[in-house]
Amino acid sequence: MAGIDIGLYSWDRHFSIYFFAVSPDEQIYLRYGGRDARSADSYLDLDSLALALERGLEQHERWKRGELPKTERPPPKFPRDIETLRNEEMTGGKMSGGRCIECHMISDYEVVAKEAAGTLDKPHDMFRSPDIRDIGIHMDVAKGLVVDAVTGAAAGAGMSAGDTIVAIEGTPVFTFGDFLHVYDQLDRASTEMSLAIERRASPAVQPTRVTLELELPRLWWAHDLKHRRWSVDPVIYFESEPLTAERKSVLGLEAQGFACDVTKVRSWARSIGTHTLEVGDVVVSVNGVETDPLATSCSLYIQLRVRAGDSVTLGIIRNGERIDTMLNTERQHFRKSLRRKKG
Amino acid sequence: MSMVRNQRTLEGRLSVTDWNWIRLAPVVLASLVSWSLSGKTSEVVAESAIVQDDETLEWMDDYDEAFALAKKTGQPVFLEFRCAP
Repeated sequence: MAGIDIGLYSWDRHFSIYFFAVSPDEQIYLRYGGRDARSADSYLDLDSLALALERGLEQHERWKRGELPKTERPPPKFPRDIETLRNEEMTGGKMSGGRCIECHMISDYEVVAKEAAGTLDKPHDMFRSPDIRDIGIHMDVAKGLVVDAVTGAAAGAGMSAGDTIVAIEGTPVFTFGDFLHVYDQLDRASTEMSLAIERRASPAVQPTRVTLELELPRLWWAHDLKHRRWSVDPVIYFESEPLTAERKSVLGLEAQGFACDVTKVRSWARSIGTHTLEVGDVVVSVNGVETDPLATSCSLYIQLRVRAGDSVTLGIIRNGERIDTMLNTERQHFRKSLRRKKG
Repeated sequence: MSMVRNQRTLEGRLSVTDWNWIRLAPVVLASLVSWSLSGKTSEVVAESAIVQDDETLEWMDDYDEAFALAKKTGQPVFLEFRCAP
């Protein structure tokens, strides 16, 4: 990646494989790729790859005829422009010996730099490529942008199985990779999103284009980050489930609070001094805070509001008694050079 | 991505040997291939690009050389980024 303009070729670099179809003058026709927490392969398929190549060739024909609008090239940016990546990996580090600069390392160094500069926007920078199933869109992966089933927000907006997504927020999309890329750019404070779809009454008739307005559910962008291993994502070694409204009421807790049941504890957490939580504990507060407009669970609150590696005080209920206990979060440094400075 | 898992996904369409050209792509992360339009439908080209092996599919690993060739021939570029095996 050392010589690649990552300003032009911008994508969610936790995707393990990603393709661009590009014109000879470096205009991006389309993208192919995408994943979710279930699997690196969730949206990869040979048939849809063939479809993407076909669409790419159509775009190339348009380019040759001069029909494609010229897109403004983003400012160039190279891995060496990320200071910590350059200093810790490329200059005398592992990469100086010819090892590749891994895509996910580039994004990790980018977010760490943002964190240091105080500009890290965790909902956007850490929760990349939100899971579209959370807004009720279930793709027919082999068919590219054809929708297989709809639920939730998508169903509420009138989307139907068999619809083909053709634009998001007015931006045309040719592949699922295009779609997810534009979706990922949405402001996390957005409460609605427009999708243009094509719908056929029958195979014999021309499709009708319809624009749908989706009401985005609260925290539409939040999803499982297990596959990402961000350095800025505090490691806590326990899992939890948000309390139901009824349980909050019984325990006398804030209805809007992020209290949660501890459902699983990593066996080594106590021995390495991360925490002494037990399954069945109820985490009520973090450093005295019980509610947050962006957090529906204590885990999400910690992900969003605690700096990885910091220690916090958890207010918990154990055996009916309210006590405080420490949580020493960890900071992971996935595949980074051993030359890295601690912290 | 686990290429092994992907091979299973694609079982029936491609043999492991057919898919090897991706697994055996150069160590550098940017691999490029220009695909031809001449005399073939795009579908055929796409399918053939996927199933051919290294001997018949022209892969390049130098970005500047690939785009110089694309400019010279007018061909589009298919650019792949992937995790090293």
